[in-house]
Amino acid sequence: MDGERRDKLTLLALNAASGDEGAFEELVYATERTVYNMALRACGGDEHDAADLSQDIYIKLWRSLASFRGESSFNTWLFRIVQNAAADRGRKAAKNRTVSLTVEGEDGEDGRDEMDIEDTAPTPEASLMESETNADVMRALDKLTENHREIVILRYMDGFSVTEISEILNIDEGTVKSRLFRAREKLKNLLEKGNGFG
Amino acid sequence: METLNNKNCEFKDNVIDYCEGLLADEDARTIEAHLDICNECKETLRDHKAFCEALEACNTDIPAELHESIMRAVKRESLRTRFLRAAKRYAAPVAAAILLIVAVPAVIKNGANEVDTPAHYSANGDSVTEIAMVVDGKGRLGEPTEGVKTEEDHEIAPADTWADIVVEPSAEAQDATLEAYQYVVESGEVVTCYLCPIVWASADEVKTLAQNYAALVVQSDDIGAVFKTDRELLKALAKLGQDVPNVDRADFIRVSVK
Repeated sequence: MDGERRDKLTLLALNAASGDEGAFEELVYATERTVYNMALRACGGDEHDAADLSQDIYIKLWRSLASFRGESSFNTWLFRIVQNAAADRGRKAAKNRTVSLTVEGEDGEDGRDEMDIEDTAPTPEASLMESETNADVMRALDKLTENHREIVILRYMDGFSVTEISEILNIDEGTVKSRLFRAREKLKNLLEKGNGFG
Repeated sequence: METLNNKNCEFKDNVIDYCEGLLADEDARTIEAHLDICNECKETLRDHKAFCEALEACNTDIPAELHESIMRAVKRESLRTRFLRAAKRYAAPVAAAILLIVAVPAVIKNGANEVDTPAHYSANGDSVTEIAMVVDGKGRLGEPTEGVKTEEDHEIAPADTWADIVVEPSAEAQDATLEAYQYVVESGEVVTCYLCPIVWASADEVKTLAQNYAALVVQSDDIGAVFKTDRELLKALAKLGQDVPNVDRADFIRVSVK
């Protein structure tokens, strides 16, 4: 199934490169969740910055589509764009001082309107359990070495294949698999110690 | 059927590959058959699924409006590229930044004449063939093409008299920009474009413009960004005065769009 999805992305990218706007939007739909989460991690969890960075990424993607030939995996190509965009943003943030205009209400408070949202959220208990589990996982990830953390995130959070990870990290697939194995075992041990997970 | 409980089952690693969809069909069927009889491997499968799901669950869904804002940004970029290509046919050299006034209305002082120009149109309401005045990133005037009035009365102020404000355009402003680009590109006409007055406007002029006009185009790294100005801008500028030195005392205010 992974192979089929990757083939679909490559085909969409090639169609988008030849001017098919519908294909480009499908490409955005197919990748935006992954891109946004990568942006979120690059921005230290700041949702606003992550949204801006996501826009930058897709603008860069659009600009560079003409050069995509489908010889490498689209995912790998997209990863490089994300990396470059995040690095550019980091450089700009260091240079500029930004002041945001917000609309003030009469009482001087931030005037953003609260929207009525249909309540389809999980129950408070379910949400708390989910956030505790997520927090446990993030704490455990932080305890891994950088190499192990990076490869776990690429594989299990960003969804890259072993082959794509091999291209991204410029290491052979055997090394990817053995590093993944060790990272996985280490993380599973940390999680089991932490909260009885597994 | 006998079931197995071998903690060191030889198929354990294959179960993980199976869980992740990495096995060829034939190998996958072999593992499926093995799972029917091996409790240890069933537990390995269950644990690994939970592991993968727990990591994936740390990802968050995208904000509701993000997809639309991405598509809008890309469309604006697409139109910008087309506009720049169109502009190149009419004027040389074309510097990196071209300012487009899309506002109702924009007031330009030119000696004794005041040109009160509605958005997209020439002073008399007809389309015109002059090309935009071109400004580089530092606010210097480029070479105007024949027929375009120059802003001789506006000298570019020394840098130490500027107050710099970087703002983020609203979604409505971005839509207005899109509309402007579409007009220029799709109409096939080249409209007279003026430098945004805010680039060299005095602080008082900025406040006057903000009070009277629906939108102002500002010099931008992201060409042609528009933001809506109204009383909120005045309030924001007043508020920013506390954070941005010189905004009240500045001779000129340069507003750049992030």
